[in-house]
Amino acid sequence: MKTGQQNTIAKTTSLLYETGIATGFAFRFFRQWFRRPFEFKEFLTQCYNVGYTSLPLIGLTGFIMGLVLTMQLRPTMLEYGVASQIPAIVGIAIIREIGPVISALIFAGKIGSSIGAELGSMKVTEQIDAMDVSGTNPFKFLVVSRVLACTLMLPVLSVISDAISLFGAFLGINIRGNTSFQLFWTEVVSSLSFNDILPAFIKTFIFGFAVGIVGCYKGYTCNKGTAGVGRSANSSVVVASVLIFIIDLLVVQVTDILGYN
Amino acid sequence: MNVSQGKNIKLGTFVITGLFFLILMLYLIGKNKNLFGSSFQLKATFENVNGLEAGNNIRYAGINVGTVDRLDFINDTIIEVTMLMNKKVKHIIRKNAIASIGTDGLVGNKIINIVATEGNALAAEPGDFLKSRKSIDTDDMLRTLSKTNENIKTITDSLIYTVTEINKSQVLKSILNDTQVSRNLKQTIINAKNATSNFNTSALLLKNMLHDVNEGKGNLGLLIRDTTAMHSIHTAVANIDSAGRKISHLSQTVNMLAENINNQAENGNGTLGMIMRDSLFSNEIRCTVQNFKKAAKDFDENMKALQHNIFFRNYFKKKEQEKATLKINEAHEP
Repeated sequence: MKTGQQNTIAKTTSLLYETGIATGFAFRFFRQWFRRPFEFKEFLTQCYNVGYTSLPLIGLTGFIMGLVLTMQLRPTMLEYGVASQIPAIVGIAIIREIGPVISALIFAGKIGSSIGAELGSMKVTEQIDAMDVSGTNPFKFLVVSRVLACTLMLPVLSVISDAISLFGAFLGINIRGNTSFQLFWTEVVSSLSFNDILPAFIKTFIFGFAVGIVGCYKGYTCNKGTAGVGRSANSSVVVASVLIFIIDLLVVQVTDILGYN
Repeated sequence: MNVSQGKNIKLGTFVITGLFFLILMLYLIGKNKNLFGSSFQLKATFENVNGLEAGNNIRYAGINVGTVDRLDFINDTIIEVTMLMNKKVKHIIRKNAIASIGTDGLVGNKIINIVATEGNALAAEPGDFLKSRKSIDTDDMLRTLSKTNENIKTITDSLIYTVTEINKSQVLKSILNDTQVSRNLKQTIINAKNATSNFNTSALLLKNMLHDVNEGKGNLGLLIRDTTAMHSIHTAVANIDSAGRKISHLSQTVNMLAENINNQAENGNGTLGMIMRDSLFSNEIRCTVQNFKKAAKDFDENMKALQHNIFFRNYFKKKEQEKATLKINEAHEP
């Protein structure tokens, strides 16, 4: 029977091993990305599945976040006599942090699990092996197209989600107060700068890549039958969500060091 | 249209929508920061920019007209601020405008306020330096406030000391305890009240008097309001003035005459000088006067004798009767 220390060592070793394998998986993605043939049709299909089908969920989440954030913020702002600053504060919060992170988390929940489960089931049913045998590069067809689709679609989703969130914030202000849309929009835009938008926009690419690569990795390396499929779907969401927060922290640190905060 | 085409259209719409919002947001922010559209540069130098940063707004008469482009050290005490101004306001901002650093609201971002000054000046040209004014620093305000607090503390200490001394004072205590003082005070107040009442009455009378004067009533009113009286006064004053001049002239003439007489008297020239100087001549005159007196007396006696003369008696009686009649008539007249 293993002792606690041996267990810890074994888990650490396993974590390091898996991290190494995942890193290799990511490098393999970059190598395959630029190699012909390009699976453009599959890429577009995945863009549709990943981006367009996620829009209602992420849009609804963004709308509710904007609305709730404003309604929660309003009493405190009124107490301090700075209710006129709500559009500026909500605008900065949504554009810089809430919009990208919430979109990425919802995206990880919906798409990360979906990719993990799909590739996992293909793996356990040996469809990936069959593709390999039939001469199709399964990695390029399945992984590169999905990861690219996730990387490119999450920023688009995030931008639309930001716009919907701001609209929700506008409604939230006007439930109790009375602010014209023009004034609201002017306040939001005047409080923002490129330093707010660009780092937030850039990090959504990284979030998308993280969700896609984690989902694909978990699915592509799935084993132990149908139970493994469920586990890979679950761990895809968990790992991707944690990675999103870690990446967010790193991006904030980097932008701060570079002076873009 | 097959399923794949429909999906592609939806995907295209989705991507274009996202890009549209992104570009719109970038454009609006860029426009707000004067990155799009034509602009021109103005500069100003400050000793302390109080946390001003590139991208902060510039306001002219409360309207955003540009943004801070960059801040450069000229030397150890002067910072040059380059401002990116909207070209639409180029003809409005004058060379004599003054730039100062302020705050947007109480706790807002730093901004540059440009204010116009009186006087004519040409429109500011690109690259012009505007005059700058030192803004009120929060530290300066707090320093002043600290000084004010110290002064208030000093005043309060003095007040405490004074009140303590008053409380300790036996004189004040005796005054407060003396009932006579309160009675006197009460009487003083009554007197003051009466005096005030009298004063009110006097004021009322004065008011009425002034009203009458204003209406032209009474001598003073007539004097002030009656224009004919004023004319008469003017005439009288003119006459007095004329009389004064004549008197002055007469006085001069008399003076000259006196001088002449004096000269004659001193020199013995002329009749008057001879009279005054020649004692013999004066004796002769005195004798002549005495002779005249004597002759008059004799004449009087002769006349009395003539009245009693038979030839003239009737004439004198008739004269006396006429005199008596005249007296009776005068007595009867009212």
